[in-house]
Amino acid sequence: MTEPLLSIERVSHEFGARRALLPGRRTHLAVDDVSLTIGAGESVALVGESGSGKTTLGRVVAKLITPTAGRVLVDGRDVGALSGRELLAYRRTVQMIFQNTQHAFNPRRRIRDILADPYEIHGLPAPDGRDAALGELLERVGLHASMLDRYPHQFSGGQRQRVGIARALSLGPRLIVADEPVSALDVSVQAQVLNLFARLRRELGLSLLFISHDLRAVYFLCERIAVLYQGRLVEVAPRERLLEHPLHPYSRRLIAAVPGLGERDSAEVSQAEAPGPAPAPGVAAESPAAAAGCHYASRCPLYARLGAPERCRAERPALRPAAGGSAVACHFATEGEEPGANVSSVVSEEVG
Amino acid sequence: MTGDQPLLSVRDLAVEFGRGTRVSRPVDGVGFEVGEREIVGIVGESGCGKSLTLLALLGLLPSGGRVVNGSITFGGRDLRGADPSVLRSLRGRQVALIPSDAGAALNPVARVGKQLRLSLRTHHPDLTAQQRRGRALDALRRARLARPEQALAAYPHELSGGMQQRSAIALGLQNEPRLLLADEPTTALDVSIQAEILRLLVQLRDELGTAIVFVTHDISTVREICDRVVVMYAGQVVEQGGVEDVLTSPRHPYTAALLGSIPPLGGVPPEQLETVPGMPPDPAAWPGGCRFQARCRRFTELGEPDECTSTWPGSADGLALGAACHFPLEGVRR
Amino acid sequence: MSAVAAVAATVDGPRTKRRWKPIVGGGLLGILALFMLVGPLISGYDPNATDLTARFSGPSAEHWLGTDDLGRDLFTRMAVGGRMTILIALGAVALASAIAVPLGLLTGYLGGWVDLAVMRVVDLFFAIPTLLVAIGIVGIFGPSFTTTMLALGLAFWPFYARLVRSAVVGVRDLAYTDAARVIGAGRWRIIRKEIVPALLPLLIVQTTVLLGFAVLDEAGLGFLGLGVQPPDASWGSLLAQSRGFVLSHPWIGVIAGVPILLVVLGINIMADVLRDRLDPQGAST
Repeated sequence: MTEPLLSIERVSHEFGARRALLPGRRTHLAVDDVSLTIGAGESVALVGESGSGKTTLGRVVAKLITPTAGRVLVDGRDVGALSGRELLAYRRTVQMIFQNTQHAFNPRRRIRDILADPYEIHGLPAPDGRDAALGELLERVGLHASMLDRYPHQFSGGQRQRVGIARALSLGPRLIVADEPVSALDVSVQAQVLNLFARLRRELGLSLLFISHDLRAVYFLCERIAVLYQGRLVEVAPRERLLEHPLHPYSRRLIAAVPGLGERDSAEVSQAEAPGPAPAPGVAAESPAAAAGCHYASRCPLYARLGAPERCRAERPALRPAAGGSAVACHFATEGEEPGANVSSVVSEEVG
Repeated sequence: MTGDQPLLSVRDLAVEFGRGTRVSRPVDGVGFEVGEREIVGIVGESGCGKSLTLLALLGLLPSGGRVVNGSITFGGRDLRGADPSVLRSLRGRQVALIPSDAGAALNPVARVGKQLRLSLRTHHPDLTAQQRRGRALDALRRARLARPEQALAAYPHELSGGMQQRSAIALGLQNEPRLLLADEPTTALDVSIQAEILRLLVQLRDELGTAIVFVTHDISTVREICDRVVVMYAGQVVEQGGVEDVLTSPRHPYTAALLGSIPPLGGVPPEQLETVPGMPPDPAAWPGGCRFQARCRRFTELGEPDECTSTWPGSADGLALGAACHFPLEGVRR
Repeated sequence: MSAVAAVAATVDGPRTKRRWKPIVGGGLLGILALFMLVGPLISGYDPNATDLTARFSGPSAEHWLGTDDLGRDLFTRMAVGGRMTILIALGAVALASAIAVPLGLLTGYLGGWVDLAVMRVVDLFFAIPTLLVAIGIVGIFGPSFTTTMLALGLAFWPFYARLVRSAVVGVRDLAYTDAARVIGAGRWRIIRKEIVPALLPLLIVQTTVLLGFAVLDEAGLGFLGLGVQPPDASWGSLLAQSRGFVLSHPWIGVIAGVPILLVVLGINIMADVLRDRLDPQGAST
């Protein structure tokens, strides 16, 4: 087995941890003991609802924040202590693309200046001159060299996201962290940007950590899908496996929620909804009972059906390997367990 | 109300902005009908005029905007020529709006309960404080808020995104309006919560009989809840009809392209998704003929027929069912 | 709903600008500048030359704005005094900016204990009225052109620093500073390339507004006799002088006061114009 490009080892991040001594200050465990690897050229998705910690984990990988516990390895090297030249080298290996295209660019700087930044900071070579290099960069993401002198607000959302991709690509990274790169765009424009990602992956052999709540986009782009729920990884599986045989009850619920998949007013789905909205972030992590046991138990239909087994309350489920390359963090989920079959039958009738 | 007359009827609606040489018409000849208890989806890319159409119905166009043509009839009453005071009394009472960003639409410094009671006091001045509280609680319960008593006493920022949207829906529904206008009500939410909110809208229609106009850019959510769908492009209706008809065998190339751009779930993913090349035209200078023609694959395939560039293929009032296309697709099942 | 707003904006075009504003504001300041620069040349008087035979002569063909108690030509004195006042104001604002902008940038961007410490000092200044701070400083160093300038500059910086700091905090957490970090930009580069450009309009407008305040406060100090000392003139000291004759020769007070009013008005109108012009969307199209 070759070394993975990226390994995340038991990473946790707690917001407000440094100030925990101040009275009345709440800390919030955004990422809770997550381990995950990405191979060279592989594309892995991080899915979950808002507050699941997926963005925080992405920012940890992009070294925008330093996790409060655990470490991140790239090519087997711990990246936690990098600084100076080594940090710059890391920036050339791992890049990030942001969700909000409106705020991802300084409104007072022309695209030319924005794209020139990486060249200036890293002293990248531009054999035919900087202008030619920048123009080529724009062409590569489907824009025109003539747009270099525009300001960010003169682009549409989709075009701005292309500029964001161009900025990341200029450094020739091997891994790109993409934080909800299409969710703020129109569906028709989403398809264009997703195509661009797919093309770049094929042409450049990029690895991708694709953060999204949109299972359709994720399925199109990523071979493996990791499901986060309130900071913990609940399931990691190859995409077909996750879609057709989701093991964790929460994964099942996510899949049932994809629009255009379920039958309307489907009884099975309504049931999954019954436990109500998610508790406020921070609450679950702090209650000792949840910290000890499974944090999904209070909303879990399987837990309810099994008659509230003691184990779910007492013991935190570890991520354990399952059939077909999946891994699931649930004491009781098994493939034979029914609602999975129910969902997959709906799914296999191709819709949309 | 006679049974066969639709609750809301919009014909040939046009909205203009600007004056003199800078006039533009972001909504240009839109027509559709909404029956009692019906859920109608309006779909299109941003800038196609779908949100402006909705605001025009309420008389809430942003400043500089005005309805220059067409008619709006609601419950047999003409709304286009109606006095602002008439519109004001209808808004919130008979017609309610659910915003796309509930977090921004709720007043951040007032408790949810207070906002609910305030709206009740406006429309039902005769209720006692006790009754108002009860009604507000009912509304939250109806919007399926877990722990409605707590929500009543909460400030909006203390609620999750889904709970905020439920509160906004409760606010819209507590006066039991006949028509609910929902502008991208789920766009800002997570997929799992999106599904819950969509289901809630259907349930409310079933319980209260409220008709709903549902505006979205995401055609896949339309399939979840709508009875009929209106597809808009460049200020016009390019296709409308029953959801099953339009979504399973789209006849307008634009509708087909929109559907094709949704990534499929299951099987081996395609190398590329279908896309609509180029950008929508500028509302200040709509092209003549069919406005989609410049981006239309079928136009190229058919050897660029003259009709497409010379005449608009739609109906005069925008009400016609089917596709506004000279060469509609036939029998393409998706 | 942002889509709607966007449509409305493109369709409406830029909001019809108030065209009178730059004309009136620029005109006012232009005329006053001309008056200060060439006034003494065309009047032909020495501002400090006394002529006891022509005391308190009202406006006439010889003395356009009349003379004061020592028979000095008021037109000339007002022009020369204006130079002094404007110089003091410019110097004070430059000093305040030189302290406030770097401090605001640092405290806003770095946060932490630096921020805490500097902002407590600022709070201290806030507890005392600006003019009182200035009076205190003049009291220590004695009144003169330089101390007036220093005093006003030192009195103004806390407001300005806090303003810059809060603006920096607003920009610091936007995604584009994150994007710059991911690209590998260091702290100083982010401040230089991302934060300062974003603050520029605020800085320009705020400098202009402060200039107006500085003119007013110079007049205030001068009025209290703590500004420029005789025989030199500034608008403030001329106003202070006129106080003595406010009952017998009230027009002297009017002549000393009106230019202050006009210059502050002109500056404020121009600050408005700049704010409109520097709006991010308008600036770049």
